[in-house]
Amino acid sequence: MAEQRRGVATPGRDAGRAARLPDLTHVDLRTLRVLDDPALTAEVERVLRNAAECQEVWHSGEGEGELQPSVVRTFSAGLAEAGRLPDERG
Amino acid sequence: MTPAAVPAEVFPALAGTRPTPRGTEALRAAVHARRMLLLKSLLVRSDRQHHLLGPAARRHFEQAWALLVAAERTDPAAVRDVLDYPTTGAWLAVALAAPPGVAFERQSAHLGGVAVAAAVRAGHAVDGTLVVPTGLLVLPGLGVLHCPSGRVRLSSGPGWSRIADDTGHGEVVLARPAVRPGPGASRRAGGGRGWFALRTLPGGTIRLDDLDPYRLPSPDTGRGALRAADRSDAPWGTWARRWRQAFELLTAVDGQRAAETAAVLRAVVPLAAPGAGATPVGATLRAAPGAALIQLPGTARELAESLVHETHHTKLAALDELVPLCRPGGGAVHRVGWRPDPRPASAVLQGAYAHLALTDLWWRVRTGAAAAPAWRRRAGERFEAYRAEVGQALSLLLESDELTTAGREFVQGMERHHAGLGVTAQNVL
Repeated sequence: MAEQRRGVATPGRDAGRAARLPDLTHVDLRTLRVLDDPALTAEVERVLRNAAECQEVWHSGEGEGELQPSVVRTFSAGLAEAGRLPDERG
Repeated sequence: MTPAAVPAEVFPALAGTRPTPRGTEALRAAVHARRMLLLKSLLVRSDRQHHLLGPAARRHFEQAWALLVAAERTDPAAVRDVLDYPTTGAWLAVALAAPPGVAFERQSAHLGGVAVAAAVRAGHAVDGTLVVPTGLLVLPGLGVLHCPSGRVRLSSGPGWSRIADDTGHGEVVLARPAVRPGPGASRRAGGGRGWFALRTLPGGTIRLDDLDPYRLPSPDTGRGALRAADRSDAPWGTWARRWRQAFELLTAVDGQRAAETAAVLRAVVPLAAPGAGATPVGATLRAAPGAALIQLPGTARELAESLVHETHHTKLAALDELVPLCRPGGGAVHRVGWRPDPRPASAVLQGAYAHLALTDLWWRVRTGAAAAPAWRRRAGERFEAYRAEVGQALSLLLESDELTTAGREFVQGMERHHAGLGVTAQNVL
């Protein structure tokens, strides 16, 4: 399996010396579920530890280029409550 | 050092913001790799918190996963398209950050919508029932079905899939793209009671996504919170017309930039109009590269500029997930020309990258003959102002110790392009 370089987010450690993460570009879903490569496992742990990071937003316009870290939030999947549904069908 | 995941000849082009087919291909691969990592993380979390989920939720999650895997066997590209759709990434980010228990269980249920969308796109037969706890079945990239019963029935025929609320309050028959619906389905294909379909902007495949609940960050995130435009606030006809005009302008000024924008973006999320006198805003979610969140600007020229701006937030977001450019944890903040308050290095880099792309665009507008005189005048003014501000930001980044080795190489590439623009501009003008 091909590998890709992926940085590990620790101060003082350069991205170029990071662990080799399996290239997930061509991995099928069945394989993904059972894949237990150590570098992938470490990366998954990092994602789970820092899940809030994924919710950052870059704003433009008023405050160009702003990095606005969002708070961890519970996001109701029922956001489009009945009263807010659009009144047209496309 | 060029990061191994990015071809050597692609990295400098990406740094200079100039579009290349291989650069676009590398970024799309990066988005998919990241999406697969988040999906794997969801699977790991789901397995780990197995005991915290109710038996029904566990069963539904596994059924949805099985459908997704089966659909992939039928048409891997179609399933990949659904997984890589921006709101799928936004959902994964929300689900991974959800507190254990009911909140995580509720978020995990959205896998059902992802799986059904993938099956429909793949032309994989669906049957049985699907639980939709929120009462709104969201099919990323396709639309939403109102299902007040909290459960839908699925069935399929040649080239079509039928999804119906268990109590008959909503229904849709969806044709597989490029497949004509079979007998009995043609009249209902793509329509139905309670069904709201996403629409495709003219000239390509980019969706105007004004439906998916994951298209925006939560409105309670404080400063910078974004508000979605309702369909009545953002009429389709106005969007379609301005979109067509914006792409005509962009194509005339910089055809490669127009082609890149069309290839990198998957969705445009309309934001509520700015208040009187307020500056229009846009945004890109880190977890949802490929979606440009923008207010409908007053002119096609402004829309073209907004699209270039947001496309570059997407490009850098995708690249940075693959090759971290900034060292984390740096507490220093820096002043930049386009903001009144100091910003961390990662934000400076994001702003500098988007503005470098705009500076490049404005240079082409200013020096080319394709744009109207008013845009050329404005571009000339903006070019001068932003070239200076971007230059200052790049110097600041290179003087800091907050870039990784790859990040330093990237910013040096940005600086080379920036310097070239200036020299060329001085020679031309």
